[in-house]
Amino acid sequence: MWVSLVTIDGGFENYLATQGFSDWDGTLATGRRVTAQLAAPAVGSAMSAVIRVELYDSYGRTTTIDLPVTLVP
Amino acid sequence: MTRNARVAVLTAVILVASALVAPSATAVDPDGNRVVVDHGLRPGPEADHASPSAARASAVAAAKAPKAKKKLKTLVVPVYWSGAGKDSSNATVKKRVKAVMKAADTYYRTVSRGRIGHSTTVLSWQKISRPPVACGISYQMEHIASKASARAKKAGKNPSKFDRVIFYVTQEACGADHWGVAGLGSMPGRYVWLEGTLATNVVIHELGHNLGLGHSSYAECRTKKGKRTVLAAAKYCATHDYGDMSDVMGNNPDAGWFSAPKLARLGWLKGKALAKNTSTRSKTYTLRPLSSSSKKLKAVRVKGTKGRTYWVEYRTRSGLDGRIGRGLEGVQIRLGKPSAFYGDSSVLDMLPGPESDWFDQHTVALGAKASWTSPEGIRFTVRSTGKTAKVTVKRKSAKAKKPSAPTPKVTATDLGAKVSWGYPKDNGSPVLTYQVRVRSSDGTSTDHDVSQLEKPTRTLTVPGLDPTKTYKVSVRARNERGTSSWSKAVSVKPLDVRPTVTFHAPAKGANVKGTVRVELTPTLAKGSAS
Repeated sequence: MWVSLVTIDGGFENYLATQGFSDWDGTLATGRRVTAQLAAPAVGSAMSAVIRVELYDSYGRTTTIDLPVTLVP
Repeated sequence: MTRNARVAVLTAVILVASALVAPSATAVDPDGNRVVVDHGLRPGPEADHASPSAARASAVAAAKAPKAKKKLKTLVVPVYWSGAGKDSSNATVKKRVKAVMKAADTYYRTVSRGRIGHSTTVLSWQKISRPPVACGISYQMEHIASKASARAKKAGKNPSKFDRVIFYVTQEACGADHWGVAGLGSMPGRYVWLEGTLATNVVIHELGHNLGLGHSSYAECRTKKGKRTVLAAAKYCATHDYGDMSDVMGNNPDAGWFSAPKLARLGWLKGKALAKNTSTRSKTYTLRPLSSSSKKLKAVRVKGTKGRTYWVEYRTRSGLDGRIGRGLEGVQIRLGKPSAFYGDSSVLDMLPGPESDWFDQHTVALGAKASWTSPEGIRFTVRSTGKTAKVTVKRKSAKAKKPSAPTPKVTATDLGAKVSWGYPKDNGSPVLTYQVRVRSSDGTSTDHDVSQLEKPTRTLTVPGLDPTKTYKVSVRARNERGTSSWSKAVSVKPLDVRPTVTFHAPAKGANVKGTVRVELTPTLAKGSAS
């Protein structure tokens, strides 16, 4: 599972920060709460962004969910 | 190592060990009684080394066991000589002996319903002169009995004053790799010799010989064409000594109950507890588990033809039978002549595999709804199992036929299907195998065999199915008489359970800056974590 902070500018996606989790290393388990810490870059003015979660299972199925946020100075 | 290889090695070891240690002439004890040499008995755990759960279970059993009307005074003499030293300190060997004799006392108080028990005196290690034969108690028994009895007398305990005398020697004289004799027991009589083991099942087994009980065996029968079958004419059947895995007089390492023929031989199964069926009319019996404390019916003796007598009993994982294998749970049928002096019996394998081996001997029972028809046409049908088992005995039954098709229930699972079915009408011969066919809407088909020979089960999980396709599932059953038709097909479309995420923080549309703390909970389908 990848948790990222992404800005979307005219169809161009810019991944500003990303953190990975996996059941292999014990950081991911179904039903267990996960905390990610993403370092947002300093910005001169407020801009739209999303927290994007891309979750894969062992059968190769993917779920992508975007949570809209505003990146502020 | 494959299963067959393990069996081959085990068989070879037993044969070699038997050839090495079995005495050529019938052994006798100091009282002139026959002695049984137990070279095929596998020692289970010692009571002193039992797991905490086993220790708790034995404490419960001891508390529940009725008080003994007759306590057999038992003397245990640990023995060593130069070249076969002590295997533990005096304090430790006494502790081990007390633990195993407490377990034996509980066992006998329970299965005899308070008729007998054991009160034990244990001596410290007694040194005797080296026996003329360096290794093997079956050759040393006379020397051990004579010298150790003299030593016991000197220590103030005269063996002739005891009801039972047990000599324990270590296995050091033969070396650690020696596949020795676990024990010897007078049959009947009062002497026991133990070599290198104080296992609970071995001690109870040898004390069983002292009561006059022989071994509990397993019948391996074949048809004229050599195919395995439950029972055939005597010339097509072999008897495997110790092959009864439920009975402590067979090879139950956890000291399960004596089987019904043994209990009857001892007079411990009579009155309402044992029914005798000679009637030509169909009759249904309600059997309590053999290991229960009930005084109600526990076994039925059924007279057959050609000198056969069938014993029907019900075994559950309870009481002293608490650790029997799953394939031993249910209604068991044995052959045994009521007049047999040693209570000899052979358990019939209701689910005979192609080869008779240690694994096959662990699945012998009839479960609920199953039936078996004897060669003379007596049909035994298990109507139900639970707290009791209802068993119908019907003579002059029609010959067994192939089973009816099962009725499957199919549940969609994530990228798969779970198939289950009830026991079908087996028409007088137990179901040995099921076959599950899964046909895809694209025309491909796979078959899955579900054998009952090692682990009886009637469910199958089929993984790896395509959720974009529909599948038709059908099941058929096979018994000794043949294979049923395929059941009506049941359709199923596998689920496609994709992973999901629940956000907890930050809130939707929140302003963020610096280090952004994201909290969420992922949910993945069972078995699909990545």
